[in-house]
Amino acid sequence: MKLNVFRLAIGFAQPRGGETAVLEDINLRIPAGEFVVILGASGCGKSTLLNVIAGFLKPSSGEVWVDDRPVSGPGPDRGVVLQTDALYPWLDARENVGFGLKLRGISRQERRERADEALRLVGLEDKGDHAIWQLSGGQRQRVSLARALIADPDILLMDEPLGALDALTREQMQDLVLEVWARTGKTVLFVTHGLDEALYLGSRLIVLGGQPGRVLLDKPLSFGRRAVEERIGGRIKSTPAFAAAREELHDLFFAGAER
Amino acid sequence: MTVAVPVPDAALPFIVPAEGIPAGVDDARPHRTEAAAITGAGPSAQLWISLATIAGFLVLWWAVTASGAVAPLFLPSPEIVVARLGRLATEGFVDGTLAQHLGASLLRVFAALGAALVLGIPAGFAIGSSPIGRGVLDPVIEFLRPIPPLAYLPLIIIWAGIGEAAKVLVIALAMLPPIVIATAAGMEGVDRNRLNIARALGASRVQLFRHVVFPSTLPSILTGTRIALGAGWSTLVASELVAATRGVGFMIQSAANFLATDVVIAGILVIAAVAFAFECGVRVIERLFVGWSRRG
Repeated sequence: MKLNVFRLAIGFAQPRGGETAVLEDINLRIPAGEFVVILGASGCGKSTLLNVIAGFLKPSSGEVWVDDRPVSGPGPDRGVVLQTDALYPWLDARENVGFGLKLRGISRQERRERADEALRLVGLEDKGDHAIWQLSGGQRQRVSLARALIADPDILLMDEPLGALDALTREQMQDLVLEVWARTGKTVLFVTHGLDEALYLGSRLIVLGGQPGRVLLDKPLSFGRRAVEERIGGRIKSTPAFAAAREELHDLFFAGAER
Repeated sequence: MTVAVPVPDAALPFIVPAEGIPAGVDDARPHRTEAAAITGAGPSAQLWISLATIAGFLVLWWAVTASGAVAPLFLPSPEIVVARLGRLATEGFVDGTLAQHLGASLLRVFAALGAALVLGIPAGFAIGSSPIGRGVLDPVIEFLRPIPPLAYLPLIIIWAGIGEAAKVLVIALAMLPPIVIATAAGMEGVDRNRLNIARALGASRVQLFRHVVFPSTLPSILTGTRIALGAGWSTLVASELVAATRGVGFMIQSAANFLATDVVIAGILVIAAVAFAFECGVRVIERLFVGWSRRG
C-alpha cells in the first residue's frame, strides 16, 4: 500500500481575513512497509500534515493518495494513534480495542477473540477486563495502539503517541512500536519532536521546518531495523554511529538558530 | 432525642443542597480537603457536624414549643407533627390520604420530567451540534430560564385550562432549561480526539452519535436531570395552588386555609424528604451508568 502526497499546501483562515500558510509544497512518496518518522519543532505543521493524511483536515491545495485512491476523509485503511489516548472510558479495555469491529457490525464473540489477540500483540492479554481508569498511561497507549491495529489498516498514523509518557515507559513503548512494525509489516508514519526517538525508530527520516513548513531533510535510516534484527533494542543508541547521526541532526536544528 | 448512628463514608456525597451541584464540582474536592486540613475537620467530622446541626434544630424546636414560648397555632411541637404525619398516612386530609396526595404530585412531576427529557435532550443536541439549532433554540431557552414559573402560570392556565395538563406543563417548562443547557454543554465538551478516532475507524454519522457523542454526554444529561428534578419539585406547589383536588402542594395550601399548621409542617417535611430521595436516586443512577466519569 503506497502513500503519495502531491504538492500539498495547508493554510488556516485568520479571524480577520486572510490565511496563514502552515505547510507548503509537501511531496512524499512512501512505499509500503516503511517506518517514516516526521520530525520537527513544535508549530512546524507536522501534526497538521498527519491530520490531513488521516483525512481529519482538508488541504488548501494538493492531494493525498493511498494506492490508487485519493483521500477525501478518514477511513479504516489508515489507523490513528494520538498523543492523548482518546479511549472511551465507558468501555473496558477489550471493548475499546474491539470498537472498530463493533462499527462494522461484527459479532460479539468474534470481536472478543480478535480484541484479545490484539491485546496479546501489545502485551496486555491479562488486562482485557480492566476499566480504562485502572490502566497506567503506557498501558492506555498500548490499548489505543491495539485499537488502531485491530481494523488491520495498511497505514498506521501516529501523532506523538509517546509524548505524554514518562522516560522509562517511553523507551519500552519505542521497542514495542518497533516490534509491532517489524512483525506486521505495516507502513508507519510517526510524528515526534524527539531526536533520539526519530533516529531510533525510523527507516526513513523526514524533517519539517520553516515558516510555512517544508521538507528540510528526507533520508533513510537503519538503526531501528538493525536493533530488531540484532536483538539489541535501545542499546543501539549508545553506538558511535547513532551518536554521530544524532549530532548531525542536532546541528541541523540548532546551528541555524545560533546564526 | 437523636441517637448517634455511625454513617458510612459512602453516605457523604448525599449531604449536598437539594438543588443539585453544577458539573465539574469534583474539581473542587481537593480544595475542600485543604480547607478541612486547615480547620482540622476531616470528611467524617463534617458528617458529624451536619448531624449535630440537625439534632440541634430539633432540640430547639422541641424546647421552644414545650416551654410554651410559641403558641401551637404558629408552631406545633414535633410530637404533634409526627402524630399528624401518622394520621395523614392513615386517615388523610381533605379527601385523600398522604399516599394519594403524594401519588398525585409524583405523577405530575414524573409526567413533566418525561416530557422535559423527550423535548429537552434533542433540543440540547440541536444547540450543541449546529449553528442553526443554537440560533433558533438558544434565545427561547434563555428567555424561559430566568422567568419564575409563577409568572407564566396564569398564561398557561388561560391556554391549557385548569386541568392536569396545565400543571404538568408548568412543571415541564421549569425543568426544560436545565436539561437543554446541560445536554448542549455536554455535547460541546465531547473530546474531538475521541470523535476523530471513531471516524478513522470508519464510523458513520449515526454511529458517531450513538457510540461516542451520546455516551460522552450522558453524565451531563444526568446532572441536568438532577437539577431539573429540584426545579420541578419546587414548581409543584405553585402549580397545585390552582384548582387541584389532590397533591402535597394542594394539601399544604388547604391546611393553611384551616390554620392546620401541623399539616403544613408535616407536608413541608414530606416535600423535603421526597426531594432528598430524588437526589439520592439520581446519584445511584449516575453511579450505575456513568461511574466512569468520576474516575481520573
